[in-house]
Amino acid sequence: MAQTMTAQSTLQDYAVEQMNNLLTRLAFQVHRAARKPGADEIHDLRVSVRRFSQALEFFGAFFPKPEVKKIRRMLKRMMQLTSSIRDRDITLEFLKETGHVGHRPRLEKERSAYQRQFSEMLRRWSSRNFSAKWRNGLSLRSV
Amino acid sequence: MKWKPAQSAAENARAVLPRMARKFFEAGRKAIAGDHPPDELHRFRLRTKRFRYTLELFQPLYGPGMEGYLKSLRQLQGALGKVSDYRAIRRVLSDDRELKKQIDAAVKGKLKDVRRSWRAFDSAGELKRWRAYLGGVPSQRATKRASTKRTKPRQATKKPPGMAGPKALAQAAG
Repeated sequence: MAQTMTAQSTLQDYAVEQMNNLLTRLAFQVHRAARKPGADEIHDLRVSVRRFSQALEFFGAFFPKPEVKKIRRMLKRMMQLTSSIRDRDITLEFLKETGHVGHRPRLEKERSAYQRQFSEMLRRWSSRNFSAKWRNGLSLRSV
Repeated sequence: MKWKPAQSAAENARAVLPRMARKFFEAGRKAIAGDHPPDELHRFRLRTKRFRYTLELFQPLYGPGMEGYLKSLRQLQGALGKVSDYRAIRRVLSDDRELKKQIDAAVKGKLKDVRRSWRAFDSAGELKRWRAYLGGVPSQRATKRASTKRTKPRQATKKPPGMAGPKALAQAAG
C-alpha cells in the first residue's frame, strides 16, 4: 500500500500517517528487544517509545482520548521498567571502561531480575497483539 | 496544542514550530545559566528530546534542509545525555564513596561540555535563524512514501527522496 502525503494534506491525515509510521517502528523494536534484550535493543526500544509518546501527546487531539490515555499509561510503565535496565547497562559500561570489577556481579544480577520482568511485559504485549489493537483504537487505518 | 484543523499540515507547522523554538531557547538559557540544578537540567534534557522528536515529525514537510538544525540539536542532546548518564551511574553506585568522588569529577567536566554545546547552539542570531526557517513555507511537492511494509520501518532520520531544499523553500515562499 503506497501513500502520498503533501504539504497541503490536512493536519489530521498527516498526523495519522506519522503515527502509523511510528507505531510500525515501535512494534519492530518491541519484537527485536523480545528476541534479544541487550543494551542496544533496549536503548532503541526506549527511543521508539519516546518518539511514539511524543507524537501521541502532540497529535492527541486527533485521536480518541480514552485510547490515548490507555496507551500512554502502558508506555509509561514500559519506560519505567526499561529505565532500571538502562541505568544498569550504563553503569556496567562505565565499570568496564574504568576497570572496576567490584560491583559487576550485583549489577548483573539486578539487571537479570529487571530483564525477567521486562520479558514478561513484552510477552503480555505480544500476546495481546498490542500494535494491531492500538492501530485499531486510534483508527490509524482510516487514511 | 492549539491546532487549526481547517489549515494544512504545513500551515500548522509554520504557525506552531517557530513559537516552540522560541520557548525552547528560553528554557535552555534558563536551565544552563547558573548552577545547573540537576532537576532543571534533567527537565531541559527531556525538553530537548521532545523538541527534536517534534521537529522530526514534520521533517518530511521541510525536507533535508532541516537536517542541519537537527544535527545541532542532537549535539546538544548528546552533551546533556552524558551528564545524565553519570548521574544515573552515581545513583546505581551510591554505596561506593570512592567511585562517587570520581563520578562527581566527571560530571563537572561534562557540565562544561554542556555549557560549550549550549553556547554553540545559542550563538548570535541562531534563534532568529531557527524561527525564520521553521516559519518558512514547507515544500509544496508531493512526498512519495515507499511502502508501509511493517517489518522494515523506515529510519526516522532518513531523508525522504525528492524533497525540496532551502532554495526551493524560499522560491515556494515567493
